[in-house]
Amino acid sequence: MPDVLPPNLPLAIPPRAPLLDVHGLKKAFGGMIAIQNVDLRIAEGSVHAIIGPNGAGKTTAFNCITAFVQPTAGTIYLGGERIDGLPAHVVARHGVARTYQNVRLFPNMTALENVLVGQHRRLHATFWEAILGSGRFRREEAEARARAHHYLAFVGIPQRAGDLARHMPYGDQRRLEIARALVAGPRILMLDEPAAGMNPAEGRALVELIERIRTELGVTVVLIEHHMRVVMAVAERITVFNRGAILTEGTPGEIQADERVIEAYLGRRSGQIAAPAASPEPQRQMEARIA
Amino acid sequence: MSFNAVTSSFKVTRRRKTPLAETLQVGALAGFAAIGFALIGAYVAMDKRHVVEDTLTLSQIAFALMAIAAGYVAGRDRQGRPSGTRVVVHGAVAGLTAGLCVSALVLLMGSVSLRATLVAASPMLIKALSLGAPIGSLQALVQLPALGALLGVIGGLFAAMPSRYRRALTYGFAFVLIAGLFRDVFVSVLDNLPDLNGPDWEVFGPGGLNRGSALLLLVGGALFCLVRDRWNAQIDPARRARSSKAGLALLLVGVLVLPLVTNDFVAQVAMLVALYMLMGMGLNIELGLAGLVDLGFVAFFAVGAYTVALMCSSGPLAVADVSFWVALPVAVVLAAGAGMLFGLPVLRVRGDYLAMATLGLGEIIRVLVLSDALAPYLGGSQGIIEIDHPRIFGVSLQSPAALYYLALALAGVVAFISWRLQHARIGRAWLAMREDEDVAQALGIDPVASKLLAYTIGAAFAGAAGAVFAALVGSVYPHSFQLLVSINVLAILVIGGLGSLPGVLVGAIVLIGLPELLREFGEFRYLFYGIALVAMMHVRAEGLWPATTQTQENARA
Amino acid sequence: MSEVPRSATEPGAFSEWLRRSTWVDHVLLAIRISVAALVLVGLAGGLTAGTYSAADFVSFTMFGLTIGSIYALIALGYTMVYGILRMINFAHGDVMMIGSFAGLFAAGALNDAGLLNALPLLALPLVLAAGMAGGATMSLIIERIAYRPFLHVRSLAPLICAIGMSFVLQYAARGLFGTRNRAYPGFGWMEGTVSLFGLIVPIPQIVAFIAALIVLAGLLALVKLSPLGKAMRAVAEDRDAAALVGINVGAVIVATFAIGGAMAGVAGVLYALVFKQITVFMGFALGVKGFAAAILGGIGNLGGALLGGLVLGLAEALGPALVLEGFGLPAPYQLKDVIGYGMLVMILIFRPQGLLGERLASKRA
Repeated sequence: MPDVLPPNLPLAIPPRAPLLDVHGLKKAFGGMIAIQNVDLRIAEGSVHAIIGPNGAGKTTAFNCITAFVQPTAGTIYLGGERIDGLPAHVVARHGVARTYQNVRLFPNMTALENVLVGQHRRLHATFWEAILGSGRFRREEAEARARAHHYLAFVGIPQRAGDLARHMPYGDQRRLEIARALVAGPRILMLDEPAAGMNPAEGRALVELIERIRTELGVTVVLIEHHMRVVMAVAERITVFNRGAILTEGTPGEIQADERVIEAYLGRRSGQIAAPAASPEPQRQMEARIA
Repeated sequence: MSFNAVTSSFKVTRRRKTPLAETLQVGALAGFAAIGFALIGAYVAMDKRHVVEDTLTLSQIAFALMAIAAGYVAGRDRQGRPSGTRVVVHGAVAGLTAGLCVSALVLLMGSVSLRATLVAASPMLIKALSLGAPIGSLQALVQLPALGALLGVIGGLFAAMPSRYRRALTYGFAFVLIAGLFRDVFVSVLDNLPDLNGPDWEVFGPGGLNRGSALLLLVGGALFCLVRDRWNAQIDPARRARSSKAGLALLLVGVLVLPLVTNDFVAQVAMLVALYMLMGMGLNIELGLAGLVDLGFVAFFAVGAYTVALMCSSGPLAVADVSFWVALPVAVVLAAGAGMLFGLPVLRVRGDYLAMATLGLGEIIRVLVLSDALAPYLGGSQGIIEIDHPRIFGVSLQSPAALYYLALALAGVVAFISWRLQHARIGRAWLAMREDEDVAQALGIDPVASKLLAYTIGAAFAGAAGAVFAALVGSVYPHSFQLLVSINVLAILVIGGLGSLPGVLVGAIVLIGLPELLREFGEFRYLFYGIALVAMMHVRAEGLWPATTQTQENARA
Repeated sequence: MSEVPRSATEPGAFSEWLRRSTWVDHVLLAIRISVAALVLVGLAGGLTAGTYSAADFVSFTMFGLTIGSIYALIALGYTMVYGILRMINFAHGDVMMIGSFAGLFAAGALNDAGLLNALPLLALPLVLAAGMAGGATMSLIIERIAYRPFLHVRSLAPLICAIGMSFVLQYAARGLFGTRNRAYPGFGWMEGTVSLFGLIVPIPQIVAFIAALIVLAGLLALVKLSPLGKAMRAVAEDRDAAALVGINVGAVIVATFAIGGAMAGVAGVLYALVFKQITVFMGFALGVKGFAAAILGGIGNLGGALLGGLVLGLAEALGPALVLEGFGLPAPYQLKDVIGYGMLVMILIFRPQGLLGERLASKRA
């Protein structure tokens, strides 16, 4: 693996080999720079949280990694293979699955069908086999359904299988989204604010679910989250974003003790430690566009 | 088809108007609709069709329905309980307004000649709108608003009555209308049945229903509805769900025996319906499942038709003279190949673009086929004639009924393939793409590949339909491959319900069968299609036989 | 700001392309190469065939510019509506047809009143105004029926409604006005040709070209300078944000449709002047070509609509002589429409964002 790593990586290699390795990621929308100089190293089998104030570029980083948008610069390696610049479905096939900040299910399909779609890349029966109803096709469909039911049960909504996604309660929609992502058998699961809009009890259940995803399924989890209780409970490492760049990274204990993090959140001015400022460019550009 | 992802929080708010203003507006709208109906020439054309012999013509019914609808909308209570006076007054005002609009038109046409501009503003129209009164007389001008007011009140009362009686009346009326309009079909069926009634009592006159039978049907239909509603209320919902399957089975049986119990003309129409079903299933994969608006569908229909024409003809242009059964697979493969070739560049773009790009594509094919440049190979505007009829076991399929069964059998095969694909990995991928393309892609679905597959299969089905078409008609001409064919198929899907296989059947019967049987409609067919598309999107976007119920059933299974 | 180097071992551009591309890109490249080769072969053949003289080509060019300016006017309606709603007004071609008929009736009335010949320079603006009014009214009706009810949901409904409206308009117009070709009553002074820089050009072509330029200039001024234009650009950027800062989004959408319809109405009148005859079904082909012009220039881009219209007009006028002639096809002018429609497909193959478009990637387009 080391021979495919970009040679300009710093020599300090973390104890576990990184599954996801992002280097120098930058994304500009027109003249507005959303993120730049983002380096992320997610260890295999870990739970890694990304926090930061609104507009810090967390979701943009997610979108770059999952190829929802193409990064302006930077490299992304997953398990040693380079995935930046590839179309989103190819990235997904490398083993990246995600959920969305504002739940994006297939609203007019049932929960079961949503999870079946999630298995797209696990099924192999060809077009002709499907038409002729070959043995392999039938077996595979039966397995897919069984697996779908299994994952619905795994996230705790086995009774919802036949419900249309849009008719489900919000909390169950979030769970369904996780089930749909997991059923593809990803190597890394990226959750975008999974606890948003949840009450404390649901938050605790989510913490438990994420633990089980890691221990039972062995899937690496990256999550963007605002609920500090959830973050502190599940994350092994935390990366803090601020104004389009990484402010700091560390264990939950280190982050809780870091003054800069508190400043970034509360916006207190302190002379010595200036947050790595995104350029003044964005604002100018915004003004130019409005005028 | 109702992927109602909210894309914008911005909403349009409407200003509330006073009830009277709303009533006047409704009346005026009905009046303008009636004027439009008259000025496009529909009134005169449909006045020749008697629904009830010597009593009511189709256009009179259309006008009456407009006035009743105006009264119904105006009398409908928006808040609180309906009061008798409100229903009567508002209904009457709406109907009166509509009637006055039409009267004004009659007056205008009587005093100024509009024919230079509006071709339908003929003396015939004035005469028809005078309803037998002397032209230009006071009676002719007053009777329309009076009738309008009366019908408006009826509409208002209709709005105020309990809904089960309203349903019952609607049923009774629908029975009369259907029986009257499809007199010829029913007469041909009655002729083929063993003589039970004896010749002394005729249900139908030479043009439509007889008065007595019309009354009988009205009452019978209403009673039928009341009894059925009572029956439905007693049985549990699970059985009612099954009744939808029973309805489908009944429809299928009807489809199978139809040409046997009617005459050749009806069989010919049924053949056309089956052909359009075949095409509908193809477009259903593209539009209904994958959400691709393809208006160049006819191009692949043409590829299939010309392939068979060139391979199965004894004419001078033929490249071969082989059996239809050899040419059919070739036609399908060629059409699919054309679909793949053209699909790739245009499928990278989204919905609206695709509609336009495919539209251009369909026209390119038509212009090319028509051109002198390709005339030595494809016959130009002269087309290709003398295409052999298909043979089975040495029997040539020539009668409309035989060809109907051929088309129906192919439609059945195609329906089976569609159904299988719909419930496989690729079908789910199509639905997911339609719902949310970005998310589907993030789940590992290759958007271009899956769209291209949908497009290719759709093209293959269209090619099969084209092949059958060439065999049915025995000749192909470029003018058979106009954009209108694509629009027909699109309308069938939208009316029947996008993504729904029984919807294709229903849509083809409603949009292809009915206008063929109603000759008076011929001219106004595409106007009717246009209105149906718009109305369907507003009133019942999921179609007459929606697909959602199926997916839910499927998930429970 | 220094760019972070992609990688120290930056591979060659070609291997980078190979890494990123999928089979779709490879097939497309093959299609592109073969289409380009085909066009080049035709071009070489056409240039060497020498069927047409230089004067022929100049007159083709003049004609191309005229029809191109009409395409540009139609394209504006597509582009403006697309910019605001991200949707295509499918019935736009039929709006043009209605505008053309409105102009016909105005011209007929003016002719009956004797004004057409008495005050020719007043009559033409009046006829154009009638066309604009007809187009704008029809466009507003379409907005009301096919777009406004579906503004806040994402679905195929507006597109299907607009397709339905297109057919309603065509066949209602057929019922109302009949199927025969109609011609505007003669503007006496427009018969004949003028000699311009040694070229003989029919007057209607010059009139149409100049009128189109004037209207286009007026529109550009409106969009760049007026408060309405500013509001339109704001809504095009972000509808929700525009509503938040107090812009009446509904009114802006209505205005956009009205202006687009008026442009189509002008196009309809000018078309009638140049081609001398109109039918109720003419909207279809012209609508598709207007759309092709809009995406050729880059949809959502007003200048692009103008450029796209002119390029398309030139391609149609010169294409048969230059390219098709090269293949030795009989009657290449029958295939003029193939070039027009083919351009549409070509743009999608080669440059989906159009000549001037950059904002909208092909996927979001």
